[in-house]
Amino acid sequence: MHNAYKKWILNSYDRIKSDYVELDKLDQQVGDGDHGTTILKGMTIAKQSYLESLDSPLDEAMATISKQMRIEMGGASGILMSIFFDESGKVDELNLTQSIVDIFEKSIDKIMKRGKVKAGDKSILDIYVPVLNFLQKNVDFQFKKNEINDILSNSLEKTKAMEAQVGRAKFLEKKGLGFIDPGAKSTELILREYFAAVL
Amino acid sequence: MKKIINNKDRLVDDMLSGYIKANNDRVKFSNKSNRIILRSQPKDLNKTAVLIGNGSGHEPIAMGWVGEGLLDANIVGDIFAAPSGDLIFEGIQELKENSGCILLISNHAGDVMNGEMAIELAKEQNINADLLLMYDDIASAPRGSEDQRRGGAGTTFIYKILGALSEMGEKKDSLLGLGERVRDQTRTLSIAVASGVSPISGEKIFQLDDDEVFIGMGVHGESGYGRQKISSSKTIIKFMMDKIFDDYSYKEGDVVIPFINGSGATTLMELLIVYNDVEEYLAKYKIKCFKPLVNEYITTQESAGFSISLLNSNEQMRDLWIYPSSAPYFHL
Repeated sequence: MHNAYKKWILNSYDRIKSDYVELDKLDQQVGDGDHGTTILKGMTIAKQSYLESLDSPLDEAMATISKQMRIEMGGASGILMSIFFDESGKVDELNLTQSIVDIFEKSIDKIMKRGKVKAGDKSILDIYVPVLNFLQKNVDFQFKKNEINDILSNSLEKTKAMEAQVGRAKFLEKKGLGFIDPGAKSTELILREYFAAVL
Repeated sequence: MKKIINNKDRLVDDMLSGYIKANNDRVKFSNKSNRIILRSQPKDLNKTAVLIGNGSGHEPIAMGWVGEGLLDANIVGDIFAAPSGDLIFEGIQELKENSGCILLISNHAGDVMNGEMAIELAKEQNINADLLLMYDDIASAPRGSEDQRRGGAGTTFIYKILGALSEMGEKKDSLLGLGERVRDQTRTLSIAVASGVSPISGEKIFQLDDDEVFIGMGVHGESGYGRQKISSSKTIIKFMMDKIFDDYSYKEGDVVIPFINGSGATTLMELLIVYNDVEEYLAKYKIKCFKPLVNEYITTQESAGFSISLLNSNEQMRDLWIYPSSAPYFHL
């Protein structure tokens, strides 16, 4: 899986690098305006750390990357977004589809506990949860890649109509209503690259 | 953006380096990380240590309050971002030989998640560490949901009072108990007058018209009671104090410690006019003021505005409030 994961990490970095200014602008509407810069820092260290870990077992490499991202990004986004990277190291090539379902289940569980957040609160969970629901319904993974991309983009679009129940946006005059959640946006970009690389 | 910095990516580290150089008689970096600020003269190991992790961009808090009689350590995150749980845990490890350790956490999502993680890591290592969640901002959640409120400038009372009592050798459990009482007797309300500029994005943090103020706004531009046209200090103070009095039952003879905190670009002239009006308001209810703190301590860059924090105090709290401290930026 190292080749697929290398492609995932490097492509995610490239994608965030080209979109981080847009993410910062989005975060100016609902946060303190630096989500793009923060996630770029996270993906920069992820890329660097991954390239140094090519000889390590995948689970060890991803655990290291996750910790580095958490330290480099800090804040709520660092601790929550790094969870998927850690869990993703448990992928099993011989049992690929079920292991990916497990990765999503465990990531969601950890994000809910750590962030005291649930689906519909306008957060990164509003990407992970619909993806998990889709995967569970299609556990044979006999779907086209564009179907998962549609799930990702539709889920992201839905965060626009949500009022934030968590994080800084919860305290805004309109609770971020009308804007997509910046963390959901970067998560969508990263998961798009994940499925493009591993499926 | 018009700020005198060198490199955006290094601005927190450059600031901390300057801070340590300027105050090297009282504070130092940890040997392990230049994001962990420690007292130069550590507390006796038989005493409980008090520390906090927080995002930077709000100086002088909290690094400026590391010193004898106040904080034992501050773990410094990036601009407006809590440090990671891993880094806060490193800070706790610096104090693990102390008889106990209290991690203060101001109630903001990132601070809470990372602080809780740090305490979990500490407990796994059998370090005697606990957290104390701090909240005081009445605009952020209604009465009855106090624990949902944000941490604001009134958290200062907890820092100072627990810092002093821990220096006197009090045990961890009784420190935590007093910390909770201070928290429960503190109320804060803030007003934003003009936005500061984020040194990362180069943009204003929130938008306010020239003739507008926003009562109840959080330190990052979070919403509260809403916008209104700017008016006199007396009118604004009456509005704000009425809200605080709606939220907490004060009675004749109470002695409060007031803290008027400027947000970064509010003149001392204005802050003193505000204090004058706050004391006058309290006098009408025959409430006395004890040794107020009036200056800019918890800032958000060049934001203009201020907050009013009141601690309804008892004698022990007042004694601890004025207990000496060597922290470089705490001056009563």
